[in-house]
Amino acid sequence: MKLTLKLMWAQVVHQPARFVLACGAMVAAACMVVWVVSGYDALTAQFDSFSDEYVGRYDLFISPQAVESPSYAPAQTVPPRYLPDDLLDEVKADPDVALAEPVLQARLMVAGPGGPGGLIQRGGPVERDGAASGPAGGRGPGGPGSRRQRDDDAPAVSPAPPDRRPFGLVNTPMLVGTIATQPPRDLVAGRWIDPSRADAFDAVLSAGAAKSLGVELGQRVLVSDGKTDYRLTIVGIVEQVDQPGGNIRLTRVSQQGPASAALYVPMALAERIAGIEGKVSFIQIILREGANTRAFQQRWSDRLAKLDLPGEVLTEQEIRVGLEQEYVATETRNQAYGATGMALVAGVFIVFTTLSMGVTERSRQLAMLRAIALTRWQVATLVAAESLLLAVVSWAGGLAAGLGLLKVLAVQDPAAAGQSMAPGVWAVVLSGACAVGGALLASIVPMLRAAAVDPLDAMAHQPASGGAGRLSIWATIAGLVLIAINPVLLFVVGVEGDQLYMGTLSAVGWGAMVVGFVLLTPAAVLLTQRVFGPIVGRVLMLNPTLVASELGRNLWRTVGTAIALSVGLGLFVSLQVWGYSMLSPFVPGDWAPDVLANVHPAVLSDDAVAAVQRIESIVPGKCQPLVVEQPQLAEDLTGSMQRATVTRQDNVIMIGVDPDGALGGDNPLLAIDFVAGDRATAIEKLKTGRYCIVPDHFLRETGLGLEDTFAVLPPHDPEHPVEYRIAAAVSLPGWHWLSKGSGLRLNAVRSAAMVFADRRVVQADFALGGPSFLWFNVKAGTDMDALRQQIADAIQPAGLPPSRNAAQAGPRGRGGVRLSLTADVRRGVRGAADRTIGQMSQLPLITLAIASLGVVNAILGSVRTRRWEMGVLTAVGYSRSSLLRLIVAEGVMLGIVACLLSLGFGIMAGWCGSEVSQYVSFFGGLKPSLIIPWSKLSWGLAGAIGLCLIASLWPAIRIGRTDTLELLQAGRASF
Amino acid sequence: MTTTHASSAASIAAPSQPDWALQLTGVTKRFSQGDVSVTALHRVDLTVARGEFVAVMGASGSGKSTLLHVIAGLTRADEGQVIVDGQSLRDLSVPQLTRFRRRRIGLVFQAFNLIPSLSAEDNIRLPLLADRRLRDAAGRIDPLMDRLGIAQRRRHKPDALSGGEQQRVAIARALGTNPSLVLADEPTGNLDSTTGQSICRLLKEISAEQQRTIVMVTHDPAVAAWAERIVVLRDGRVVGQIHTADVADPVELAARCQALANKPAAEVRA
Repeated sequence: MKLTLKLMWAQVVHQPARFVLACGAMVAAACMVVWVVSGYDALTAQFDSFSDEYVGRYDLFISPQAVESPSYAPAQTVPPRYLPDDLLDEVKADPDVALAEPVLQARLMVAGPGGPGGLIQRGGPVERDGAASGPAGGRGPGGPGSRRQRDDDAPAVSPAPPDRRPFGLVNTPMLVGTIATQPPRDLVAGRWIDPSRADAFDAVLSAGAAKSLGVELGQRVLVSDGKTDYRLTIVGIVEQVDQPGGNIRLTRVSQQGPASAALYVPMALAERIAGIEGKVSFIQIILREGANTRAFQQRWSDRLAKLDLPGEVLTEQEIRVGLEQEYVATETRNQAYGATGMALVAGVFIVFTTLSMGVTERSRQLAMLRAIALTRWQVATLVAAESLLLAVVSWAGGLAAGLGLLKVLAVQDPAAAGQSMAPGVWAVVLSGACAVGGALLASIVPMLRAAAVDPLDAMAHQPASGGAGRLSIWATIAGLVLIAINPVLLFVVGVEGDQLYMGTLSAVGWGAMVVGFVLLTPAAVLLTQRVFGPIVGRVLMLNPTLVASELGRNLWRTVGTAIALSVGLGLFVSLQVWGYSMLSPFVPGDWAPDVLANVHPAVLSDDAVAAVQRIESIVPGKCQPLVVEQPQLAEDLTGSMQRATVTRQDNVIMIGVDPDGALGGDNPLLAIDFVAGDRATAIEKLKTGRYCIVPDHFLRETGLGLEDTFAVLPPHDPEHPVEYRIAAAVSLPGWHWLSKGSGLRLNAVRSAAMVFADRRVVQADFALGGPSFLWFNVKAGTDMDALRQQIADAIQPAGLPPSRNAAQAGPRGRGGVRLSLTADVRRGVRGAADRTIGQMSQLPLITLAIASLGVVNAILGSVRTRRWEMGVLTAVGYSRSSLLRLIVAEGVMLGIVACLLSLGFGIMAGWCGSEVSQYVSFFGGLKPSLIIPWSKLSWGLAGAIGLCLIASLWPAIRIGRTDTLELLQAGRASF
Repeated sequence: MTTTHASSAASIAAPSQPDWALQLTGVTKRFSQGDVSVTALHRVDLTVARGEFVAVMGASGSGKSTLLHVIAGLTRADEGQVIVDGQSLRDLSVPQLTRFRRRRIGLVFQAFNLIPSLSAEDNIRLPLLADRRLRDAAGRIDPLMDRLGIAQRRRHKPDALSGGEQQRVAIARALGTNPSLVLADEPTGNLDSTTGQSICRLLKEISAEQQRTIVMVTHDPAVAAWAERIVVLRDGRVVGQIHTADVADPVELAARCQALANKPAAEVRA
């Protein structure tokens, strides 16, 4: 061991550049892991404090079991679940219970003192009049004084206006009915409610909800069930504990226990408002002193599991575990694993290349050591020791660099400082896995090669050139076969099934694909040499034949470096291909008219519609009124209860149109592509009765076909479903985003399909007064603000408030005209996608930059083994500039190899990934087509080649400065 | 190639005070070159007494390097026996062979083969460190360096040494373990004539002073003349031997070697 360490250290000191470069790359990789994983550590570090604060002054809760939802998809808005009626008395009778209080929670519409403007959904394209809209839940106290005065004067209870939509958004406070005489957490201001005085219409808000609603102490909030409005006075504000990762989604944890954002009212008042009596959402419990929490939990868990609707005991521990299983935590954890995986793979190939180069360049030295002193095992240990040194130094360096980076980030963004100041446990563990695991894994093949060195090679009179390697045709064929496995499994066999089946097939398919591309790398090297070598030679004014032979001199070195580069670049390409392919069905297609206008609260009369159609800016004949409803499907046709996605939901958006006006003619307003059935027949059928046109994915998800029927439940009369027959199916790319922010989603956040039917039929079936939407095309150069005003003026006699405010006001419920521009939606969707995909691409590009350090190492190694040859070149007349360009050419071609590999892998992976997403992603179901965003990819590919060019400059300049004689003498030197 | 190994991981057999430091009996070595099998050594018999300085000469392709490789255990003979210091190499496994070579055989290479990252002293100590016998040999290294005239260069790396100094370091490395046999493969091949002669003189002196058995491969009669005996190979066969005491000068030596090398093939086979 002493000799091994001595030899290893001597080698490091003798050739520090290689070690430093490899170390630098590994340090950077480990640093990246620390940076990403610290986010997860920071998140989990919050779990403990959150869990403790979440339970507040209570010991535990008893609640119904949460509805399971896939960790990769946001949890659905679930129907309310209650505990059995007699359970509370049972709990109170338990000798360990000191206090057991029932709580009723309900999600209703809650709005601030500015009025119920809170139905604007977050996300989606920015609306043109977004500046006028207040925060979710309505406008704050800064609103128009006359309106506040009107709110203050309004009675505590009054009938709701007919357009009041009762559902609340997931980021508005829950209505919480309680009998507790003390608040669950500390009061920030005011006092707690008197639970016995439901008639006081007092309430206490959690601090975060108060801020988002813009409510202060003493002001009123509006709560509505859609039939009756209740105005409650805020008498207190209590601390709010926000769930780590955000309260935005209704998560498993917040399903079961107390809501973070809450509006506390006496139980009797909550029952009255929610229209629910005698129900208990959960029981909050304080145990007697000395009671054994574990025993209590065990006892009651068994009892609760046997209920018809099973319940469970929620302690701090369960809450913590639940948080770890949440979507945000899972996503963050996956991101951490993903970063570790990327860094590990890149690191493996960087270290592999470094060690392999070392073995190749020192082959005669190793042979001599074998001849005079060392056994095979001792020689192999030498390589292992080098690897271990790399590993330890990289890990320590990576942790230090990661810590430094976190501190720098904390200084730049103090808001995030509290979250990730120091590497946590996971950061240390995963960075160690990356550095140490990667180095040791990478050393296996070099160790075996070193051990296999023939001591006879020591007797060779010239240094062995070594490492040339040969392309194995069988390896290439095997690579192609392996690559084909994944697409066959995905597109022919199909991977839909239970998790084990999908997991197994995925592991086989993706594993085979990765191995296949690795096996293809030598072929990619040779292809680059043959095809691009001469081109690069001509560009750099070099002998094409000389350039063409550069890469193959040490195939292993080139292969290892190319793969290291391809880890990051390949992932970048695959993310871009996957992302933009997945995006394609969400971008509004050409079928969509230019503008969707939503008028509210009135419906449009025929005269009003005609007046709008006469507006100069609107293309004549291209303006159609729409009646819209969003009814629930009578059956779960799409399987949304098993797995919800963007196409698997329990309702549809019914759009009633004039079939001829919207779909007829040579240049229809809705220029939809018919996938099943034809336009003319569909129009005729729509006119005859309850026929409809559905999007193509609706047929796929439901298994229905043309002439099949499905039933929907009219909101005004859910006891009497109405049945529609499918006349045709169409391609409707982008309907999701078109409907998201435009007001078409009247009753639910998500929908399964946008369905077209005859306007008269829809209006009658759903008891609609008339159209409240208009779809139209506009002339080029139209001023939208002016157009909105013109529309408002045109429909004014029909009953809208006669003022300019009507045109400017956007939010529903306050009256006005809202315009959703298709171009804005497209821009917004693409912009959001660009940002998201760009963010996701950061890590791969960082990995690419890290791997470029490996390129420096590779070029240095290449130069080192060819010193004598370069001496000969300069001796016979090559200028130093030619030598420099020759080495730069090698770097550039290395980059080209990586680009070829990455393009092949990335496109294949992106394409296969978009197919897999159909089965596992919430955004699956729309069968995207393959999109290769060449403009985006070109940046990455050019960047890779640029990095390789830069990486080759230093070795090239170095060799250019070396004396010719010194280079020639390298051929006679020992080794 | 048929070889047998010791059935257990027994230590290498202790020398039993044989008469010969090296004994080759009927050694044959073949190589495959495509479909053709080439016999590099054909039933070679050779014995070298303790303390003898023997040179092996022959033209390129005569098998002299192969002979050295077989003696060093770097490759195994297909037939015949190689006994070094009483130990049959055939009986040793690969790890045992490596240890045997480390302890009993010193190798000097034409290309010096010093580790460029180690100092001269560390290069010399290399086999001893590998064998964990550095402490035992502590008292031997300094006198050895003094004897070879490289003590003042002990801290220098090989690239700071001249060719002759490097070869002296290589010789010191070969002698550091007190081997039974020193094998030198063209030790002067990379040196100028003057330096080469000094190396040859050094080898001769060491052989005489330390009763060190040295087998040296060379194609240069001027180098071979330093040995006590010259074995001439042609086409893998021993065609004759010359005692240098019977030769006046290298010119005569070259002529006699040439004459041996030009023997008719039938006579050689006989």
